Amino acid sequence: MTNFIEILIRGLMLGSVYALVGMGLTLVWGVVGIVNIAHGEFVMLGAYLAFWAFSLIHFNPLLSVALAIPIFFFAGMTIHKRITERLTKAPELSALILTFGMSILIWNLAQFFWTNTYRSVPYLTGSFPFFGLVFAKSKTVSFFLALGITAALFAFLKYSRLGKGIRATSQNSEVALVCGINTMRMRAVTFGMGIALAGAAGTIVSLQWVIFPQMGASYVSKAFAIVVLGGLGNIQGALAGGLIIGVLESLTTQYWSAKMAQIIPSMTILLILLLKPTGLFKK
Amino acid sequence: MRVERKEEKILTIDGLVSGYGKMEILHGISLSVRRGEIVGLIGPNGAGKSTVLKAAAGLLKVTSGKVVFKGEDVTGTPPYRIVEKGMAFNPQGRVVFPDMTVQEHLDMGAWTIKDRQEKEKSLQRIDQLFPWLMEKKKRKASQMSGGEQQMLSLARAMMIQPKLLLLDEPSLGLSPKWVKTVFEKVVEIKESGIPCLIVEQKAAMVLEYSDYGYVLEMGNNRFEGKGRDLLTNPDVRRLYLGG
Ligand SMILES: Nc1ncnc2c1ncn2[C@@H]1O[C@H](COP(=O)(O)OP(=O)(O)O)[C@@H](O)[C@H]1O
Ligand SMILES: [Mg+2]
Repeated sequence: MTNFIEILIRGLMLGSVYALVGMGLTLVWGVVGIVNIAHGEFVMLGAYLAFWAFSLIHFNPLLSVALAIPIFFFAGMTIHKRITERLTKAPELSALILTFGMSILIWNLAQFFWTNTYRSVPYLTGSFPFFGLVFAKSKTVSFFLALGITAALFAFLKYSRLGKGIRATSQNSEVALVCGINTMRMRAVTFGMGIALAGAAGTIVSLQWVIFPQMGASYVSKAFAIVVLGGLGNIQGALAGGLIIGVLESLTTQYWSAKMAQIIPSMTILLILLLKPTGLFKK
Repeated sequence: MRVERKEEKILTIDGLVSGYGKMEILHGISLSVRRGEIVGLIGPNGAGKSTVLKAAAGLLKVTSGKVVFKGEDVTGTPPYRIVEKGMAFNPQGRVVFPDMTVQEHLDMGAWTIKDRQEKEKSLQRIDQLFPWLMEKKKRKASQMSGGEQQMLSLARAMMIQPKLLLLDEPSLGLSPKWVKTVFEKVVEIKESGIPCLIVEQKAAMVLEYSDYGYVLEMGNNRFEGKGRDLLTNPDVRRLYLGG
């Protein structure tokens, strides 16, 4: 029984990080209308940011989240203004193709500059006992970082002026425009936030898993499963979806095999699309 | 049938050509709204009525012609700048943010207002015009009836203390009782000194309330005149008012 609870909690910890990636994808998809296939590559770049900052200047990996958020936010805004903004008026397929190309380009560049060597950030190693259960330090810290970012995101969207403007733009962009909201700017900010979430998640996963140029693929597939579970554009749904995927993965790894756990995202997408295409949660 | 209108022009649209992408919908529309007026804009479905309002509010590209608001040429000005100048627009159809509360709608309406006191003044005005709304501040728009949503949208538009109100089919999908309530509210707004340009399918109804009216057809001006005159004009009656 204690073993089961431990595995459950590990799943939630895992899921909290997946949720960050998923919330970024669903936010951009819902508000900007762009399906960003390259989303996972920003997780990879975030992980490398933490890795290089740590190995070159011994930058504390826990603080690299704070470094990643502004960097990725502005990078995301710039990418949107320069490249993806024109896609908001184009057919959805163009966005798919362009961001797919972007994804390949980014991980190829990463491979070129940083090679295929597996990297890791040996920082918070070891584990600690907690009421008879045992948890890895790095995963526990990651969990609280992810929860903190999630809470900040929710509060931002609910209470801040910019957050309200973003919600207004996503719910009715014509009315948002006639309120005097610069909806184009709201979309750029949202795109930046989505990329910042991916980058932040990347710095967090660098604490626990190996880092390599193609690592984005597994995160983007989880993020897609999360978006489908939670309902397109539904942030709370994505949080729940992330936790569900994390728990499923943790349980499957423990009671079946790590190989089986890898097909959870694709199975989830398939099942939800067949049984309840609008996602599990009401918006 | 042209009549003298002496009051100062608040909005002048002159030879407006506009549309969507390469498709030209308006082929040179002219109209004006003067101080103290309700102006009705009618015409069959697809005539381009909504397009006129959208072009005036800066939502569409203007190919040629002019939009002059309070004596200033605002042709090609982005919508968020036009709002700041005091032109409020209540578009057709879905007029609310479904997941946002009444209070949040009023906040969004006041998006361009930087001054706290001005916003407070607007809220007091809304409280006079729509007292029942202020009692439902926490209610989400999706939990309100169509009529309530239309009123909420009107309140949202009034938050900028506009100098001109553009309304696109405010009666769409409402029960007769709500239609009457909405129109009475518009008259009250006009009497408080804010002129209104109203697009309507319910042509006879809007002409009853209008000081002046325009009839559009296929992106062109067809008739114009005082509301009453248009109502009794045999051609207008035959073509647009159902006999
Ligand atoms: N978003 C749009 N994109 C392309 N064409 C449009 C769009 N909206 C309206 N139209 C076309 O413009 C014409 C005029 O539409 P509209 O101004 O909405 O008419 P009305 O409000 O008088 O019913 C119609 O032929 C309509 O099909
Ligand atoms: Mg219309």
